[in-house]
Amino acid sequence: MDLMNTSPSITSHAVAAGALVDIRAIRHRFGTFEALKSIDIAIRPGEFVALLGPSGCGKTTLLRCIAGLVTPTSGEILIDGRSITRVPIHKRDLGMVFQSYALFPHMTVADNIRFGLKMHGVRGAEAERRIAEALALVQMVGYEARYPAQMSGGQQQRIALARALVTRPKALLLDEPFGALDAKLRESMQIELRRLQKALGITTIFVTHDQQEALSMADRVAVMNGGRIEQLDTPTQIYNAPMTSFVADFIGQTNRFSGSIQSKNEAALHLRLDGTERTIEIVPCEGMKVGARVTVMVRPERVQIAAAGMPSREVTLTGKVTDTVFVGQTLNVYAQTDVGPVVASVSNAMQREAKVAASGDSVTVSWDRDAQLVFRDA
Amino acid sequence: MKAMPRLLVLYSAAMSVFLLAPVLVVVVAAFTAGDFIMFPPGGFSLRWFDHVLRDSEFIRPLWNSVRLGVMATVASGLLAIPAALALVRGAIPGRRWIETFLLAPLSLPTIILAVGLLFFTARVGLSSSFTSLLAGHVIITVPYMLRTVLGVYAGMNREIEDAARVLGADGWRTAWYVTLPMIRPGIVAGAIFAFLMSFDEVAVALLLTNADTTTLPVSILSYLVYNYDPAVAAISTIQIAIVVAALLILERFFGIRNVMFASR
Repeated sequence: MDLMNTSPSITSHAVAAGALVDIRAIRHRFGTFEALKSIDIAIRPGEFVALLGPSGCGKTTLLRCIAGLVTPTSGEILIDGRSITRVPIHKRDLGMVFQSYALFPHMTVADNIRFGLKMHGVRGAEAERRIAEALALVQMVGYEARYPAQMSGGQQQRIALARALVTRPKALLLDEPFGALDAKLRESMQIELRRLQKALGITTIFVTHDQQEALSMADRVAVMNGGRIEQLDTPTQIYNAPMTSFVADFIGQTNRFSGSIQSKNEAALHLRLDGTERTIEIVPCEGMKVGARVTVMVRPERVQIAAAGMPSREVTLTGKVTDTVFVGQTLNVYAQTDVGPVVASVSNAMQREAKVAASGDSVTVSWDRDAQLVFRDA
Repeated sequence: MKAMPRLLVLYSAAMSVFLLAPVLVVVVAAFTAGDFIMFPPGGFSLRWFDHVLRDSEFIRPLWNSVRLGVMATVASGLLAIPAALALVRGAIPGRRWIETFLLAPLSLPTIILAVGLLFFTARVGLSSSFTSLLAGHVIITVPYMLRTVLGVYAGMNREIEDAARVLGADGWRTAWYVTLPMIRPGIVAGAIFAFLMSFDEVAVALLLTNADTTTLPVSILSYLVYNYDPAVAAISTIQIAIVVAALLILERFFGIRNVMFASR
């Protein structure tokens, strides 16, 4: 599907010149399965990039390619302008944090952190100083003599982070590091990692399947699907201006309508929705011919719900409320309209003002034309 | 701890008696003052221990058995540990076949193996040497070592080795500092099995030993053919004591530390 929003987006090649980690045309094949289909990403020094996607999209394989744990079938990876594609894992000078923490269970916390230093030839007082520094960084001073089995998951992950950072790696790689933590701990670890990352200015690549995590932490998010990068952009752009219907669908909730273009004029295209007599107006865009198949998506928070007959937005449907689900900050209102089910997300404050949300109420469901994300079907 | 059901207590007690009674009879009989094996023994004395410890007919084979057991254990470890690592990492073609091949001696009667070895070693001019005896015992002990190491290594989180590599350790240092310490419970358990299998193995030793290399089980067996005095009970008691002492020492040094391997 093509992008029809006019928003500009940063392409990877534009920033390739100053990249710290430069991934060029990486492909990887497991047997007959193409895990990565030509990936290009250029990551700037100090940047925090999240690789986001459903399981099996190739994000972890890509991270392991950077670490050297997987050798890509073709393509090149440069760090600091130097190709590391043929450099063995232990000479790449990277830090990595794993979902399983992967601490050495037979070593104390201090020995776990010391390991990388020892491998890099840092010994004695200098090593002790850096171990203390690393423990202070993750706020785990006093845990030196503990074994991994004697600590909670969150504590183990802090130690894993300290262990990865103590060798002062060129870049930090994280593979779903908070996936095994409960929601609250997860959030505090996210905030802490972001604080640390900013303070140290370390280039960071973070793999996650959790969009909230990716959007809230990263400078840029690479949304991956089926071994490709669908979009590499800032979190705001990813959310507000998705370039493909996959990205729009994957990030956040959407209402989705399919149809074909019935007619066009200077001001608008008229989209006839499938299975109905109903047409809606969409903002005109280039190259859209009459008859073209189109998918329109609208975010629930852009949908307005009002009592029948109340003033409404540019695109208006009528329907009946079927369900309301309270989710804390917002109330999700599900309505059956003349073109199918629609969900609107109403903030608590708004809901108190307009008393619309009760099952069975007749309502108008509406949104503005610019709230519509429009994709031409392939 | 919850109390065991009464039936289970009874069953466990019966099984313990069944397993321990024969051992107990031998040990108690060894302390007899009489000239024949009797139970209960006739009087208490250490004379039979004194007798066997002075008798080179027992002491030499005992030393041979210990030496053979230790060497067979070390050799099977050197073969089985790298094999287990390679088999689990799994990049080798035909790894299922190799694994089955290495474990095959488990399902082969040792007397058949012994006959085969006898012919083979005679052909290559090694018959009745210590080397051929050791080779026979290594074949028998490798599967025990392989099984336990395979089990532990297959259950190990592979990301831990990945972490060591990324931290700057090459393959050798990763194996030395991370993999070997982590699979140590498997190695220790395998070593115990291997030593015990070799220490009381009869069939191969019977066919491949000569007067100089004879092992303790073989010498006990041949002594029993002509004698019925408590010397056999005494040497058996010494043999049991060696095994129990070895197990206690290993448990003391490795068993307790295993607790720490239960990460996460």
